[in-house]
Formats: sequence, structure tokens, C-alpha cells
Amino acid sequence: MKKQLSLLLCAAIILIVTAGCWDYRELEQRGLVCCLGLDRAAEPGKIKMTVSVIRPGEVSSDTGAGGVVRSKAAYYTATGDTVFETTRNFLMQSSRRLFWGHNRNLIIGEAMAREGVFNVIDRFVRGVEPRLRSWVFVAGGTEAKEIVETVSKMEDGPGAELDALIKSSTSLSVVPQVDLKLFIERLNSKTAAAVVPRLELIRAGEKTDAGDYPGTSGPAGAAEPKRQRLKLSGTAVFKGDRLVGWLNKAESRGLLWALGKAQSSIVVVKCPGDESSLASLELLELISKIKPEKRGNRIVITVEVQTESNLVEQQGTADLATPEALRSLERRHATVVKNEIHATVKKAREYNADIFGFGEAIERKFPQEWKELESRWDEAFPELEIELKVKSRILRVGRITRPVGPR
Amino acid sequence: MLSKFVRWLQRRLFKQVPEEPFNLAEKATKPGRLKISSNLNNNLARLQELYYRCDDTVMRRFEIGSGRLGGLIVYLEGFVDQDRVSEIMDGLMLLSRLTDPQCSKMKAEQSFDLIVNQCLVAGETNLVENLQQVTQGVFRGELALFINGVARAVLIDLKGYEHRNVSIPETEVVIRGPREGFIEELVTNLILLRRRIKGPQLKVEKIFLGEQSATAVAITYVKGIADDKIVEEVRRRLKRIKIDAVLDSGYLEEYIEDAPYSPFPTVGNTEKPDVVAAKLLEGRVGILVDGSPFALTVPHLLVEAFQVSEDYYSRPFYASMTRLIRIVAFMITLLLPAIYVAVQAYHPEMIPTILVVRMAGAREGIPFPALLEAFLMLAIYELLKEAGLRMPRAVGQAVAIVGTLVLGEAAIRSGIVTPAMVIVVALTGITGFVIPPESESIAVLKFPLLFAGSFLGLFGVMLLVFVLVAHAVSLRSCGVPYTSPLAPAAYGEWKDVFIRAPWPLLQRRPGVIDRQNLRRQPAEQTPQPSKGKSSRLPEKNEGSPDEF
Repeated sequence: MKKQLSLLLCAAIILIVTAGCWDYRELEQRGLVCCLGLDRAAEPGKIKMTVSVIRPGEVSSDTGAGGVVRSKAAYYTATGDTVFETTRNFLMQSSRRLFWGHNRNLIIGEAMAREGVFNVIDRFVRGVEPRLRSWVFVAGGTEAKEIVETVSKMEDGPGAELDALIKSSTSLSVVPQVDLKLFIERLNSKTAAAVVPRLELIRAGEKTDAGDYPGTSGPAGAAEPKRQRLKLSGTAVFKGDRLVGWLNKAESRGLLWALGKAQSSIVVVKCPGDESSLASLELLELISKIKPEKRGNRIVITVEVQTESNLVEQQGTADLATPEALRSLERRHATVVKNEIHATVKKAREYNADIFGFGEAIERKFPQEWKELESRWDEAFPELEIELKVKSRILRVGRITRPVGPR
Repeated sequence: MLSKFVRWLQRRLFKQVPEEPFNLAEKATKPGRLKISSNLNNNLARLQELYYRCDDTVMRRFEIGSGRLGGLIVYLEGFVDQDRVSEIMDGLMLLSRLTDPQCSKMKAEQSFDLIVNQCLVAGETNLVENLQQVTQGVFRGELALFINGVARAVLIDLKGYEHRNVSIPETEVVIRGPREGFIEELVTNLILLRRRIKGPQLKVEKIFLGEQSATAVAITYVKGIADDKIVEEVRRRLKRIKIDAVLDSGYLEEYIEDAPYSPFPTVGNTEKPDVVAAKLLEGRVGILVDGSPFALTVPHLLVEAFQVSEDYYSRPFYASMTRLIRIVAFMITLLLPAIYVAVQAYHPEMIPTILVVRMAGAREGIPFPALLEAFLMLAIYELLKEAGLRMPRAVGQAVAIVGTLVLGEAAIRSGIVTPAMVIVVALTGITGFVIPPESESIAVLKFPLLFAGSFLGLFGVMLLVFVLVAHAVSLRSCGVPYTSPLAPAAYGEWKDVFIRAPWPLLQRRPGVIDRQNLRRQPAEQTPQPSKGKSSRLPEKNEGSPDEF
């Protein structure tokens, strides 16, 4: 008993004195990264990283004191040969060691994306701190640096805004939601191509697509200083690890229709019986299946899409609550979906990038045929026959059955 | 090298006091086995010598029956009921029967027997033959009567002294349930117990412990329910004790504990007779100590910390909820400071982003590392608790005010601690009171856990928790595994562990303690709607003619 006790005591002392707390780091000694941008540096072969680091003091202090509003995050840029070296190079500018555990946004600059991401992505999967749940974006038309800078200046919780933006995109379903894990999975695949949402910078005063970004004048109106804003616009398509092109809004949605990833989306169609006015249909339920079939010695992909929607709005006075009108609306909805998927397929063939994962679907269903097909997939994919079957249903018409207006 | 160091450390740490022959009896000025002389004067002289400078002893010579016999009474002032003494003296001095001619021829011995058998109006009398027994009796509140010419004395139990009334116990407050609490007087305590378990099956074995204190200790159990082996074990452990004095049941606790070096208590204590009664009915053994309002119960298991008497008096749903809360509180008070420091220093990715930013902001400008911050606050809290306990009531308010300043807003404003840490410490403090039986072990254990958490992170917390669990599982209380019925698992008994099942379902006593008389009550006692026709509703068709 005594011997055990004293041994235990010795062990505890040795353990604490020699091994303890080597990793102990107070919260205030850590730089909490909330946003990361990866770019090519000017010097060839070098990496330029821009991080947005939260200033906790600014966030938690009561705002408005003294009237000076400081931004809640600081941004730093560093260059280096490898990602890890670059992260350490930040220590030359900031005493705080960067902490990646809370980073939710990984933005890849367009130039870097076109050059290939294999060289930079490894660290973010290998390291223990970076999260696989952080969102991946491609900066369209700009450097990632500029976007990170913009993020740093955002008022409510830097990083959180971008996170909220991509999360709320579920109710529109015009960009795919891609986190690092999904991105890596696609990069690991031999045939499937990765897609990543495209993030665009809208400079103050710049003209935006009409209606795409309403409310550029905030509550303070014109008196507000000119600010830059971010916008999700379309999808970046990768071939291997290289960016090869973009999908626009409709094509992006076409991709989500085919993959069954759209959660809620608004389809606008012309009213049957009153072609000058429009009706909005809100997607409720989407079931998609990608079915490879064998016809003779060819393999045909059938994409089956079933949608269920509600009629949520109509213009004009046509009575849409009749079975005939509803059937017609359903057909029009199906046509929109079909057209969008077709557009996407066309783009995918153009880029020769299997963004739908058709190859994987064939591999699962016909492993024998796939062995032969795999080696010449690049030639086979653009030639692949694709059949579309879209069924749309409209379930409810809302609180009223007849449109507003005199009868 | 290391073993040498260990041996040196052992010598330093556990320096043995050379065993002395335990011989308090000789040191104390005890009379030894002195025979009572038949000469009253000799006895008086002897007693005066023994009770030299014990000015509260009363020795009074008197004459019995008109001067026929010389008598001597000895008692302790204030320890015996003065009225009863006068009553007895009255009877003896005016004893007319001894003046009878028939009696006058009697020898002293015969007269003594006559007195003992016919004239002493008292409950308990005891004939003794030596002065040691006399002394023992006198100092336990008995009155000794000597008669000239008789080499014996009679001890008459006339105990009567001031004691506290039975009142509400301060440590175990209940909203619903009996309010009576034990007092410092053993006889009253035993009656409080007897009133709850009626009949001779409730056994009370009295022994006297303590060379100086000669404290009465009562072992109580219910024959037929308590395991004889456990009773025998308790009896053996108590009788083994050689101690100077027993001033509270706490003295005995450490002598009969299975693991005195463990942070976990293996002997339970309570101030409430209903609790002791309930434990006796579960097959436990109660130990009541004269002079202490705290009764001990063995075996004491870990789960008892979460079982409060009120659980059994209030409705089962509420009782189960509060029991779960108690378990959660136990975890919080034990682990919260450790986990807080570990997470913020090693695993900030576990905290939601917004919270971690807030916490980091609050930590800016704090001069101490989180560990020191937590340690300081916990230490200050313990200090305030201790001060609040010891200080006279009158200054209580001042301490309370200063305490709130130290542990509250002012500490945050002065930039010494973060608000989150104040919340953590306050939560730890409050939840610490939820489980009184374990509060002492928790108060001790949270510091090592805190250090483990700050040296090795959650890994360290986990390690130490593992060690503690392994230790708890290895413990036994009077032969019963300390963590039962959790481990070894007895699933049937879990209905009184995490929850408290309704009474009709608690048909069995805990089987780990009591193996012979398991059935507590018959099953199927919940009221059921009667199978036949309801007697209260008048029948429409089958009205008997008598009703009309």
C-alpha cells in the first residue's frame, strides 16, 4: 500500500514536471482563423495565403463605445513555398499562433484553381486542426486575398457571414454546398469531377445583375461608406484538380436537380391560359435517381427526377386551381427542370468533366463493363447517352384557390 | 537509483511511530479491582481518596431506619435526577419496616437485600462488589448506595440531566417527510428509532468505547433482515477499537472504514431517524453514539449519495427527476472546472465559434493563465465557505457581502478573472451542495482533476476519472462492493438508482446487502378497478327490491 502510494506520487510528479502542459496555450494566445484564401504568389511556385483572424476583443467589447467601429477581424498575407511553411510565416507579422479549428471558409483563388489544387490541399486534410467541415469556394475573377479582406471587414461576425450565406443558399438551390470533405472525396475519385461554388466580389458602385442583389443600399442609405460585398454566383467545375470552367445559375441548378441535392427552389413558369403573367412554384420534395442501363452493348444513363411543389404565387387572374391548369403547370415545371439539366449536361460534355458522377454509377451497377470503360472514360463521357425522365407534381395551391381580383 | 529514492521517500513520508504498549488503563487513576469493604468508613475513605478533587461528587452518610444502619450514597451532582434522589433518601431514612422488631434482628446483609428488593423505587438497579464498578456507575449517572456491614453496593439508575430537545436537523432539510432529528442523547435517539421499527426484531447492542470517555455505542439492526455476517463484522470492528475518547461518531467512522485513505466515504452518516430506519430495513447496520446526533450506517454504497429520504416520500416522477439532477450535479461539480480549463487551453475547437471568440475576448488582459484563475477562484470559494461556516452569525452579512464582491462583478471588473470563470466556479459551488454525502470527497477531488485537465487536457481528465472509477470499483464497504448495484451490475435494482420507481414496484430489498429476506412487500398492490359491477353506481336493471 505504502509502496504503491509512493510510486504513484513519484509517477505523478515525474509526469507533471517532465511531460505536462507542453501544448497548453491560452485562448488569447491563439489567432482564431475564420477565413482563409489561397493564391499564387507573384514569384513563380510560391503560395500566397491570406487569413482573416478574429479580434476577440473587438467582438466581445460593447460596440459603439467612443463611436469608433473597428473591424472585428484583421487580415494578414504571407507567402511561402508550402502551405505549412506559409502558416508559420504568419508569426513574423502576428504574435498569435494561428488556430485553424474554427476556420469555416477555404477560398481558392481562380488562378490557383486553374493551376491545380493538389499541391495546397494536402495540409488541410492531413493536419489535425483544420476542419473537414469548412466550406470550399473558388474566387471568381479575383484573387482569394481580396475576398478574405472583404470578409474581414464584414460587421457581424467575420466568417460567420459567409457560412450563413452558403447555408441559406439551400432555400434557393442555385449553388452546390461543398465542404472540404466532399471536395476531397471528388478529388480522390478517378472519374468524378469536383464542383465548388463560385464566390464573386461586387465592388461598391459596380453594376450588378438586376435583381440579383437587391438592397445594396443598407439602412443608412447613401451615407454609408462604400463597401464591397460578396455574392454566390454559379459553380466552378474542376477536371482533376484544375478549374476548367463555370456553370451559370441555371446550369448549377440543373446539376442539383440531377443529383437530388436541391432542397428548396423557386421555379417561375408562365401561367397556363394567361401567357403574359407568371406563377412561382416552390420545390418541396425532390427525388433523383441516376440509373445506368444496358441497351445492346451500349450503356445509357437514365436520370429520373421527381419533384413535388406548391403553387405559392401567381400573377394575373387566370384560374390555376383547376385540374387542367395544374396539369399544365406540372408539365411546364418539368420542362424547366429538363431544360436546366440538359444545359448542365451540355456544359459537362463541353468541359469533359463528370460532375454528375455517372462513372461511379456505372461502376456500381456494371463493374465488368466499367473495367473496360474506365481507361477510356475521357473519350466515352462526352459520347454517353443520357435520357431524362422528369415527373413534376403540384400538391397545394395555398390559402386561396382563386387569384386576387374581381370575379 | 529510483528504488532507493522510493525507499527514502517511504521512510520520510511514512515514518512509523514506535508502537507503545497501549495501556491507558494504568495511566488513568482508576481504582483497580478493589473489593468493597464491609466497613462503611473504609469505603468512604477509599472513595474520598479516589475522587480527590472531584468536587462535583456527592458523598453523603446517613442513617437508615432510625439509626439502625449506616448508609452512604455517592452520585455526581447534576448527572442524576435530584428529585428522585430525595425520593429514595426519603424512603430510606424514614424506613419504618427496619424498625420492626422482626427486622431489627436482621443482619446487615439481610437488611441490604430487603432494601434492594423492596424499598428502592427505581427502574434499574445493579449489585456490584468492587469500587471500580461503583466508579463506572457513578460517572455514568447512577447513584451508589453502601450499607455498613455489607461488602456490596447497589447502583441505582437515576440518570437525569439537561439535553437538547428533538429538533429539525440542520444538515438534511426536507420539505416533505419527518422533521425529527437525532440529538446528543443516546436513549432518546434509540427511542426515535424504536418508534419506527416496533418489536424485538430491532436489536440494540450497547458497548462502551473510549478509555477516558466510556461512550455508549449502540449497534442497531433488524434481526432477520440484516445479514448476520455484516452484523458480526461491525461488532468485531467496533470491539477492536482502543481509543482514548469517542466525542462524535466521526471518531468511530475512521476506525471501522474499509478504506480510510480513499476519498470516497464507505461509512454513511445521517441525522434523521427515518433515514436510519429505512437503511436498517434495507439490511444495513446502524451505529448510534452517545453524544453525537449523527448516526453511522454501514455498508455505505456510492449510490446512496444520490438517494435522499425525500425521494421516497414524494411522487416518483418528481423524485426521479431530482435524482437525475443530482447525478448531473455530481458530474458538474466534479468535472466542470477541469473540463473548462482543458477545453479552452487544449481543445478550443470544441467550443462553438461565437462562444470561443467571446471567451478569448474576455481573456484579453487577464494576467493569469486559466489554470491559476480557476485554482484561485476555487480556493477563494472554499475559503469563503469555511469562513461562512465558522464565523459568528452576527458578522455573517459582512462576509457575505465581501464574498460576493470577491467572487463576482468586482473580480471581473478589476480584470483578475473572466466572467466565464466566475460562472464556472459559481456553478461548481452550487452543485457541490446538491449531494451532501459526497460533498467532502468532491471538494478534495476537484483540485487534482483541475490540475490533470490543465496539464494533459481532456486526456488528463479522462485518465484521472478512469483512475477514480477503478478505485471506486475496487472498494468494499463491509464486504459489499462499493459501486454495486452499478458494478457488479444488478439491473433489477436500478429502479432505485437513477430513478425512484413507485413504491409498489420496489418489492425487493437491495440484494447486494440483504440476501436472506428479500421480499419487502407483496406485488400487485396498486388499486385496480374492480372486476365485478361497481358498487357505487346504482344499477338500472338489477335494483334489488330492498331498495324500494
